[in-house]
Amino acid sequence: MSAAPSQVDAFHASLARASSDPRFLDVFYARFIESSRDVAVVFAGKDMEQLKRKLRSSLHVMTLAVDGAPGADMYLDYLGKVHTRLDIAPRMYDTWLDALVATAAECDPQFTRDLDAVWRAVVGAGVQMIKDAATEAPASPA
Amino acid sequence: MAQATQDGLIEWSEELSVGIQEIDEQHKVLVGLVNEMHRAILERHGSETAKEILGRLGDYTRIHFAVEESLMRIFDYPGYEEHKKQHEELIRQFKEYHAKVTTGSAAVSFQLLHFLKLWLSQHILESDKDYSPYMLKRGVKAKASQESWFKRLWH
Repeated sequence: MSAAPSQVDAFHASLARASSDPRFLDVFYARFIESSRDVAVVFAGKDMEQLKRKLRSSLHVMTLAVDGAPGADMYLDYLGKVHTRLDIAPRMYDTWLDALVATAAECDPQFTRDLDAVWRAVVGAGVQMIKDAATEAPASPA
Repeated sequence: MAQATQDGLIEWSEELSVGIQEIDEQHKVLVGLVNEMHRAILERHGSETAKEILGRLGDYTRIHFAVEESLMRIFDYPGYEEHKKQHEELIRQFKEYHAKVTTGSAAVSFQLLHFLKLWLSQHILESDKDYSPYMLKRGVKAKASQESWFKRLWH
């Protein structure tokens, strides 16, 4: 996963500000679940604490991948293939990214239009890896 | 996220505990095998040693998954299908990689090692911690009353 170092730094700083807002995870899930009926169906009846743990985990892996940590790309590939097994529609990845960027805009007091582009470039690269893996995934379970 | 020692090994801590001793003991074995592989690569013990550890890690992982999935089925865990699919995908990738390593078309690499470390810590922290409160509520014992057959066989 490659992004310009200045973009990576700006992303980390914005994520640190946004995630220091205690509403960050709730705002994200409210936005994401409201974004489409498909998403609402997937998350109906799910435990909110579990979902928050998943988002923290996803963001952690995303930041590792952004930083070029070894094994993180393989993990994103694994996530994409698991999502395919779970019948997650590829369009939901874009909805996820939109909800995440909108949440950052709401929770980072220094958010700007430039930062919007930075989030989309940096996190979008990770999302694209998951989408690519999902496309390559075998049609039937192993 | 899970603690790593200065040399990059996974350090077992209460943060990784799912609150069920039997499962924790199995996770500790997995952490031990991943750390053993880390040392083998770092200290250049050779590809045969790394392959042998990878084989043991694969065997133990499959057994551990079977134990977890049995527990989930017995207690009718609602997240069983989702959890099982995570196991299936890891096993598929593991088999694929193991085949490449066995035929010599790939080596046990730091990339694979770090993926396994990441997978193990994320899976315990994110997915296994989802099922443990459910199991404990339904009567699974937090502490094993005696040393289990599983531990006796594998330690």
